[in-house]
Amino acid sequence: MDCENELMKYFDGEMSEEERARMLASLKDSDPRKLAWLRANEEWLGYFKAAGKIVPAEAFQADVMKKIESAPADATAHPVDHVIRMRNELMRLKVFAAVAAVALVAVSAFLAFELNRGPDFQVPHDQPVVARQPFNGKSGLAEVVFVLRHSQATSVSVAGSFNDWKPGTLNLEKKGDDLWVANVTLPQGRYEYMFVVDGAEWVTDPCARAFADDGFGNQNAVLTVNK
Amino acid sequence: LNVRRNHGKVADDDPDAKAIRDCLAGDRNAFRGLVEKYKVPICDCTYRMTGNFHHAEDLAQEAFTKAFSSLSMFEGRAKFSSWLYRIALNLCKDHLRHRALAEDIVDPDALGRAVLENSSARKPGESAVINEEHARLQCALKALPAEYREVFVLRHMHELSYREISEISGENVGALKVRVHRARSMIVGFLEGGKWTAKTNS
Repeated sequence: MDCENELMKYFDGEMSEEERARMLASLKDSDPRKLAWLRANEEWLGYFKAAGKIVPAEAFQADVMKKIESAPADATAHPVDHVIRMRNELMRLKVFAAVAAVALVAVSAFLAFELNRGPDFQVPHDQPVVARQPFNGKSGLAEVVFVLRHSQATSVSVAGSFNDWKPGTLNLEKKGDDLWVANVTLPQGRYEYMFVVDGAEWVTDPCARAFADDGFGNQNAVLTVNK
Repeated sequence: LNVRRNHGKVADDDPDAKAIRDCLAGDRNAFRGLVEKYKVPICDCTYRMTGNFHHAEDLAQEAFTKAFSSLSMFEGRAKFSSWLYRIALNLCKDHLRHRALAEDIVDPDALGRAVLENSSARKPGESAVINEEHARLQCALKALPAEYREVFVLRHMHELSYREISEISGENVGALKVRVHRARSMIVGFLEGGKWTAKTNS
């Protein structure tokens, strides 16, 4: 007899009354000690069965419902709902991406047109100019666009108090036939500067709003960057 | 939300199915009936596993709220009660993993506060005996490793069928029978104070 299996069947209630009686009778004769162990098992299992169940505090249900009430509105959403929501989200992203792409193309085209066209203000042909576009940034920096119209120049840089008057450190980029442009970020302050054409010719910005004597008989352009 | 959304697995004749469908349709109040129906077995289960009345209530509450928030995941393959037991037992096992099961397996506070379901059937003078009995049984449960304690509680205290326990644990019935049998041997060995040797009960 497979004793373990017999005992499992006995305690799991998988024996008929007849089988149980036969097993008990057999143990009584052959192994009274084992029979006593079996009875002890039954007795203790009876205690566990009769132990009753712990009843939670009265507020238990109310506490659970309170937590449930404060759960997110979509807490019970079906997975299908999640899939639909994700699909809608993707659709929205696609639409957003398409709109963003169109906007980017439009802005790029506008900027390209604007840069080729030159600044809005009147620029005398073949005259150097500077355009200043300060903006209020959290960093306290302002973006300055230096613009020079010069048809014969092969290189243009700007030298001033912001770069220790070193020519060649801030080069302007050629746009179109005669427009030279450089974007420079500067902290707020007062600066003096001049353009340097082909590394040798120092040119005063004629469109500057203010000028200052450079002490050598020429005038520097004055740029005031306000936050 | 209708039954079709749950792939037809929530049977119409399941008494819990309507409450589940109502919850999924947005009626949170419908969950109240499920809490009322299962609060005692779930609370008792978490108490038997942890031995601490306060932790047991917290874990049981968490089990209900987790069940509610995951209700849409309930496919109805198993009974709702089995699914709820599984959530509660997983929370208990997580709790026990993070907290060494120490002296509070017999919670003295629970002995004083807990209201046993069948206590009304007992005479008032029996309360001390009940508490002593309760303490002994809880100590014996403590002697079991969690995976044995779990199946013993479900089988011999909550009187669930092996099929239900299999739904809860995800293990096959044969393996569960062996585990319950070993748990029985361990627990009775503990309660009898080593009176029965391995030779005796083998």
